[in-house]
Amino acid sequence: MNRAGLLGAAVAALVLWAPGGELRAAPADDVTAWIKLVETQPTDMDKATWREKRREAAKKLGQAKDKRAVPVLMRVAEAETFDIVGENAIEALGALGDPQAVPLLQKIATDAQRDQGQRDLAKKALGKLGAKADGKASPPVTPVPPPPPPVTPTPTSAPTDAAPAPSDGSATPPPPPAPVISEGKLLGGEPSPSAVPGVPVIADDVIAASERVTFTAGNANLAYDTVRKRVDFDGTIGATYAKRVEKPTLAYGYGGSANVVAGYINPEGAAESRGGEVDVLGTGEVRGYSGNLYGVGKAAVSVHEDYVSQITDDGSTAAKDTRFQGDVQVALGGGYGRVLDVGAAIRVRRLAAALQANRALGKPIDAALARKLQLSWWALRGERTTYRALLATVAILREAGVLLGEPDAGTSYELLEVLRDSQLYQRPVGLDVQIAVGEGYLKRPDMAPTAAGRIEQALAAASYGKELAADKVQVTGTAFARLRLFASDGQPAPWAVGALARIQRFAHGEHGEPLGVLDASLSVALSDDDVPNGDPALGVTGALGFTYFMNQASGLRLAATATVDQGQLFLGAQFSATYALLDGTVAR
Amino acid sequence: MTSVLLAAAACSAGDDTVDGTRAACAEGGALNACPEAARTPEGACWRLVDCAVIPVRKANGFDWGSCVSRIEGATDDRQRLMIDCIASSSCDALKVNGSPDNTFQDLVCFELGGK
Repeated sequence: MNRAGLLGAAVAALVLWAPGGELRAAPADDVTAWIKLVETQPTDMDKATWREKRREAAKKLGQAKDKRAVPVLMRVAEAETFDIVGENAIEALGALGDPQAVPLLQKIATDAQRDQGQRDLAKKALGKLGAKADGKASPPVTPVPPPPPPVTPTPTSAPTDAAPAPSDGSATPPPPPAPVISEGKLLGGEPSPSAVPGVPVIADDVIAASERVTFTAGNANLAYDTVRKRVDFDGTIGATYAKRVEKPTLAYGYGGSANVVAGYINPEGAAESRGGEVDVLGTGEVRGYSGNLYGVGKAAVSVHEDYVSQITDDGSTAAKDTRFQGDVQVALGGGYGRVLDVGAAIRVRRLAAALQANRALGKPIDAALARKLQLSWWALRGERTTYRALLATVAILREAGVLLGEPDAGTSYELLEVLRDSQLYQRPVGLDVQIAVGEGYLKRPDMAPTAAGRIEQALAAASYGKELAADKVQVTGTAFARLRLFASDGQPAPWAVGALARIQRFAHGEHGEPLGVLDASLSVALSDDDVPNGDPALGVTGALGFTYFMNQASGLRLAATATVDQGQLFLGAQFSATYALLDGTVAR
Repeated sequence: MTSVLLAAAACSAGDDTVDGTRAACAEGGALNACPEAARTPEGACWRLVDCAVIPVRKANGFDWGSCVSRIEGATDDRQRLMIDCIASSSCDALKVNGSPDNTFQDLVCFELGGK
């Protein structure tokens, strides 16, 4: 037996035989031995035994009234979120009465990811130190001191202890150090100086929030023909922005979109066509809730400008036109319910399921941790790859004790597939029904049949979403109705109602890879332009599609649509398939 | 890759004009938004029907079918311009004097793509 072994055995014996009463004047050597035992697992002691002895030693350190124990107890209290040794350390810090432990105890007392028992113990310890959990009038923050240099080659781990010991009692290697999120190493030693990003600030009472920036289209083409010496140009760019915040008594959202389309068509000869259009739209909505009922105010502002110039083959100007349109509209109304995008919540559930399947789930992901994960993904949404999102996810899960140990290759792959799954965006859940009356002013070119000037209308809208079959099936529906009110004499009062129902079945592979989606939809609309010789029109459209990803280079899409519009039947079908294998190559 | 697109119109209403069903965005301005139009000839022409710019069917007139033919018959650059213009415009921006009874020459987005 080497020195470390002898020391460990001596310490174990000491702990086992120590009297159960308080040790108010423990010998200094005893304290040193207990500190050593708390710090490191003796090489000749199996993990299960060490765990027991360590807990006892932590308790003894609190009773020994020796301030040398404070740094090690602080490290244990901070790192051990599961094992009872963490609770022993918290109690011991309260008993030792050293104010340098106050900031740490306050952090533990307010950490929603900790067990309630640990938080309560931290509050109790703070009470002994004359401090409060809210951090007011607390001493300056003192960083946890670094551990002393190891005196033996024994592992210096700070195990999470969440993983159960082998039932056969055999010794197991100590787990890797608990990750220090801001400067630790994750996923096989990759340095991660900023694994967990700064997350958006979201108030505690926010039920859901979203921010979406999308380039809806964008291309530009410029061609110069040296034979005929002509230039062609066409381009378009469009972007949308939308933000929404849902609170129990208040919800608001605003957004905008802008589109620019421009072109210069210059065929052979004198003829040419050039022009462009700019379209900008801004919208906003505020809701005040009382239970599920709400009052709503909405506004929309838009401007549209287009310009076209055409020259014919004989060089004469066929058309030259500039048009401007503008809208300023508001609406007031009321409604029931709300629809939330729960895509990020589904992603969290998928993560938990992947960990569970790989036997790496230490405990359920609670609401606070789910929000932390979602906000970190939000913060990293602009990243080119999913690398940092994976690092942050692993770091957060490990810090919380949800992920037991470093994920192996298979688990890492499955986590990555969940994080990359694009089918988890825009997954609405809930029911929302709304009616409103709108008042607006429309600036339009003076031409029939476009309505211009003041306009009043009654509006109704509904939306519905539900996740079924463990988030593998999504059912959504929308409906609308509009009616122009108070149309002046000779002006039509058009109306329309419609509804759309859709069901999607998402399929995933054995390791969480998106395999494809089956989607079916049915829409029905009824409208009347309220013009002479016009009748109400009924249109019904059904669509069925299936997308299947066979491998990384192959896929197929089969889709069919059928539309009946006022007795006119339109059938459409689309089939596209690609089959390939990624190249197999060898090189030296 | 194999891609097949079929579109068939079965006449059932004689030679009369069939205007078609209107979408939420056909009237009322910016408060009534339409979903994004598919950036295909068919999708763009359905947007024109939804907006009450052209009829579904009109004997010897400019309707959905002739709209698709018009776009598909244009060169690639003109197709892109016409489709992008239609997809980016509000219904009122697409309408012209006399809509839905008009010819393609009247429509701004077709003018943009060259006649």
